[in-house]
Amino acid sequence: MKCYDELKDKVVLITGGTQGIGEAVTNCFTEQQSQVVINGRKLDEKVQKVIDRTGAYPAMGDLSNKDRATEIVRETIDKFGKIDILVANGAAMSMNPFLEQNEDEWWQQINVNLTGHIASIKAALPNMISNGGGTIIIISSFFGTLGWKNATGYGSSKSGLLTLGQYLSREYKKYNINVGIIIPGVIRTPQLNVDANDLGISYDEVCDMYASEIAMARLGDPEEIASLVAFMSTKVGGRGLSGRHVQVSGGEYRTTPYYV
Amino acid sequence: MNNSEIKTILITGINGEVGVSVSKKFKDLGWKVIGIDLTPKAEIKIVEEIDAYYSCDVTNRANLVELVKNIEVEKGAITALFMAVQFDNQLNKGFLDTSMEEWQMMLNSWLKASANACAAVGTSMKGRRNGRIMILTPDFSKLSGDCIMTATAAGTLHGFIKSFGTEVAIDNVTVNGIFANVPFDLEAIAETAAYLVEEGGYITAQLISLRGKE
Repeated sequence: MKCYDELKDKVVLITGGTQGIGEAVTNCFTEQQSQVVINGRKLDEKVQKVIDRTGAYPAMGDLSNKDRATEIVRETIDKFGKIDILVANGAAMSMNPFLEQNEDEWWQQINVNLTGHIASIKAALPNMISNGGGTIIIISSFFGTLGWKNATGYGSSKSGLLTLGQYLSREYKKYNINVGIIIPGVIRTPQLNVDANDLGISYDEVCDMYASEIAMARLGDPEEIASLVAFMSTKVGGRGLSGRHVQVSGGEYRTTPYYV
Repeated sequence: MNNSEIKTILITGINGEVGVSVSKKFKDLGWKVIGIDLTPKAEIKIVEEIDAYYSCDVTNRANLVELVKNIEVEKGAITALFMAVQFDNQLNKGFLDTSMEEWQMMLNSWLKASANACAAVGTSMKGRRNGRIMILTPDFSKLSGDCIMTATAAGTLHGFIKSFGTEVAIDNVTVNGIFANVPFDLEAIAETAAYLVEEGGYITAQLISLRGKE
């Protein structure tokens, strides 16, 4: 992975930084010698291994709790004095037909993926403004741009994140704050277990099924998202791509991007 | 892309501001840069800085295919293509004032030139299962005035990029459009091109929107 000198010592908070794409982003910023804070729901044995390996500082907590989502940003600032980069990656997902899904379970996805991140971004922005700028990277999903069967809650939260990023970029550009949006395609992460369960097939079978539908005939790796997060966090990459979304999908899910 | 490979990028429209900027970036990264433009060699701004230059009308497919074949024999495999069409003189006329002949010229400049360049490099890239193609397609939405014809001609590339990208993805050839707001942020275009080539191996058949200079 390419290292950017300008990312050294930057203070980076990664929500959902404990597994899957988030863990790859954590690894990436560790390689960049940034000061990394990771958030996950709870500090279990697996998360402790990530912390031991990367040296990341843990700010654990459930993003669906708006107060906690705010506090993890405050903890970051208290620990390192500032926040330079916020990677809004944490996500909850449950797949069920809309008319059959438990309402609380449905809203949990909106509360974590969208409302929790709005709370954390609201907490981070004043610090970024007073520091002369910052970067927010939003991890959306093609479930949001295309829509997806049995994923109405997840899709709603992710299309909301895309729009949030576009308008944040426009509003806070004057404060030198860049907002990049990434739309991963099908990435080889533990989250695919949700899809496998929904379809009643194994993890390997769901991977093969998705790969057969992708132009490059393979799933993406989490590191392929992480490298774009790093590029979007640089001065030039951030400037050019602020308010924009990039789809990292092996050729699937193509749209023409128009922006506000 | 494997750093141990000899890496060569072919840049069309190399005498324009985007071509120059992208050339310098790839030279800085240690790539071999080969330029193509309509302009005679003596008038090329950065001819001393690049590895080879060829004057060629890219709207003539047969000539371009032959030229690229010869380049690959003499200089080695082309691993990346950057298409930078120059268009400054195309914005002066409004929709009603542009003749059908002028429209055809615009279409040739954008779609025909890009299609020809992809045809020229695409087969050998597929054969090697390694290639990165980037096509500059300006976004005129922030400009005032009548850009209808030029925007439409450039807009044909959107469908081409997505469609061709899906066809060659299976062979590890990526095809992306750099959909950059006018006026261009040249540094952002060059850095994004470098990212796509060196690290963006799972990004293909996309239009990458870039902010312009403000």
